[in-house]
Amino acid sequence: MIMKIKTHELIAFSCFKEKPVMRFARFISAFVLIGFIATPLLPRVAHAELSITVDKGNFQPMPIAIADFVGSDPETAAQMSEIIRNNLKRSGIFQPIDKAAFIEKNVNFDAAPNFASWKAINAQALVTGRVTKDASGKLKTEFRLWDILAGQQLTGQQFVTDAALTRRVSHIISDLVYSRITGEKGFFDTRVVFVDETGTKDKRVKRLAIMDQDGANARYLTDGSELVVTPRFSPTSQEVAYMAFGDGDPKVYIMNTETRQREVVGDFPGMTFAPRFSPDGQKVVMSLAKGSASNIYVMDLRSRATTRLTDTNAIDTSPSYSPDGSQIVFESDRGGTQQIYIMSATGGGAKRISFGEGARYSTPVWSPKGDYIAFTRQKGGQFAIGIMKPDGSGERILTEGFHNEGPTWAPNGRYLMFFRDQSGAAGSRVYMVDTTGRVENNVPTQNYSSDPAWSPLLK
Amino acid sequence: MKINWSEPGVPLSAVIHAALLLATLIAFTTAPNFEEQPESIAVDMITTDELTALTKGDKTAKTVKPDAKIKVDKLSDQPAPKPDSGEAKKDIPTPAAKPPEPQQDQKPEPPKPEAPTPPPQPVKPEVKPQPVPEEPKPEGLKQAPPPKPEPPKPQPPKFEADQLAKLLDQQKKAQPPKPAEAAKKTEPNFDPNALEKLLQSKETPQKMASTGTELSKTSTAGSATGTASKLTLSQRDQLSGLLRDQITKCWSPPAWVTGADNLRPIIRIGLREDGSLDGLPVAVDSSSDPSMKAMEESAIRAIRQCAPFNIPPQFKSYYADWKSLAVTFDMKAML
Repeated sequence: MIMKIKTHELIAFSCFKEKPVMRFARFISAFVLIGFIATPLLPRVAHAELSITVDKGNFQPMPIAIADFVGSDPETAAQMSEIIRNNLKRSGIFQPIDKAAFIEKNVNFDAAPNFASWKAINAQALVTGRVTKDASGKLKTEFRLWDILAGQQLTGQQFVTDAALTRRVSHIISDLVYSRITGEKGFFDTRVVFVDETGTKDKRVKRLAIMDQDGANARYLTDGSELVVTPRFSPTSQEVAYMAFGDGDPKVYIMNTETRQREVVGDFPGMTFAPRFSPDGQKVVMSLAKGSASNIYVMDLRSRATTRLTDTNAIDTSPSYSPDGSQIVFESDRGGTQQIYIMSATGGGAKRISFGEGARYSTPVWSPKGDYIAFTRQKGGQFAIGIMKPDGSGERILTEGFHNEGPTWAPNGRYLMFFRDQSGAAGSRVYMVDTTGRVENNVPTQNYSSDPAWSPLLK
Repeated sequence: MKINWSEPGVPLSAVIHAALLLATLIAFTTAPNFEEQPESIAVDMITTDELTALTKGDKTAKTVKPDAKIKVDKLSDQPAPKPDSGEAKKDIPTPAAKPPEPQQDQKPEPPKPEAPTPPPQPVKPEVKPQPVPEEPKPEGLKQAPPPKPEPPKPQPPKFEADQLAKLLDQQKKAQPPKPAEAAKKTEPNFDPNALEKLLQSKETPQKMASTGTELSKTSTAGSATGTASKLTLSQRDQLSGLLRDQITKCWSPPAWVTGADNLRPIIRIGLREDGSLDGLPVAVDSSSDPSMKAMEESAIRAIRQCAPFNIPPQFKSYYADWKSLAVTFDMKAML
């Protein structure tokens, strides 16, 4: 009987209340399941480790020791050590230690240094090297970079070159040290084309010149018979585009800095100015003045075909490509004052990105890394060099004063050169600043200098 | 019992309740995880309000406590080998109070008159001749005021404070059952003067236990999980703050790194008890990306540069809690 009742109940249960029952059963089972699942997820106090977040630091250039290179040619070796020392110091990221403080005076290049003795003078890294000349006159340069704190070699290489390339090898070694420590590409093995200025302020002679990025090894590219301005390096070759005032209208020229051969870019009626190469080096974008208006044109260097990119009655100038070549940043007074705009590389609508109150922006240059746009800003009678993100945010002024102008990017996008005038009769000088604005160095030139254009890394 | 299936509310609710109970039981079985946090919270609460009151209480008690404390502590020690913990002491006395049965037996003999009149003293020694050493001590305690008149009794009074306690301890240690007897003996002494002292003495442990500091200590020491000597939250904050400050001074952040605001390397360090590095600092999820690598290396340089770390002495006993560190380096706030 009992069994019957039970079966009856079960049947009744299943027949009449199956759905609500199942619903509840699901609910309960889900609840229990959640309990099972959730319990292991309950917060547990991790007592195995003490977690610390360090979100502040105290930037200090890294103390680095550059031991004098050893070898059969002590003079060359010492010169190379000095070039490397100077390069690393100018980067602002390293603080070379005075040689006089070295405890281990003679470093054996083929053995690990005495880390303790370098640690004692607070060196965090050590560069050692050896320079030898073989029978054919070739220069063999070897170097090692040591991590003193970790007690291990970080990198080491050797180069066999012509004896005349001492400076370049030194720059290459500097780049290797720099990039190994910072994780960024180097920029020491580069050159800068600039306008060398001599004569009085009223009668300046402007010649195109080229030098190593450290100001050494300068030589002229033009003879000073015509006025030259705004040289711009090709990002892919050793060619420079610039504007020269010859007999007729000022024209844009391209010159090979190795061969010094030059040619006019396009044949336009009217003045062309503010040229700049595309990232692939195949095109030149520039301004063409017609009447009171200036518009932006691009010319394909192979086909010589030109395309008009803007069509305004305003002055659109200083175009600069984004590193991917898809966009162009330029300055325009179409809104009433000089401001920075971005448009597609094929032209079309432009979007203003500079909005500083009471400020005029000019000479925008897109960083080779793409993360910033450098510019000159005029505000309150002061000229500043600054950077902003391509969307116009994060504006950061790197230097400001009587007159600063014409930023140009190092190929690694972490440094800028520009030229600065002090008030008075003195001419301008070229300076280098990093994107934090913390590191600033004069680039030593024999005469006054302006309009620097930084080359890509040499090949 | 018949179930009306047209109205399944009762059985269903019963089922649901059962399930809820089951679920909660399951949840509570793993609940001990929470224990560690409550401890630290308790510490924080005390620092604010109770500390002041506690200090006050201690001051007043100190004047009276000295004598009573010693006796009580030692009495309590007998039953439980843990003399330090206030709670333990309390627990012990309570069990002692339970043996009222034996007390009753004794009480009839020297009920309340014992205290006022010395005669009960002789009675006790007679009853407890076997544990000779014990007897003199309890006598001394109870008879302390009256003993003077009789020459033989003066000896026990001297024993009162320290000697008595020591003897009691020794005896109790030797003979576990004795504690009950000792308790019995003490109780009869409740009479006049001793009562006050005993009351005071009892109060003191209570106060101690109720103090924040004592509480936290006992709770950590007594936790069933056995994770004694753990850093409290505030201590943890303090120590991590100290270490963070040290590393901050050594860290030269790589401001040039691309996308530094998204790079947050974590460096794992082992520390020895003297604060020096135990093994090499290791980057968690070490990356081959040059920017991340530069960040990691700058972080490792900072740690190497800073070592050995200065660990204040008060944290030495918590070595297990800081012997391994996970240090996150974040430049976002600096950009």
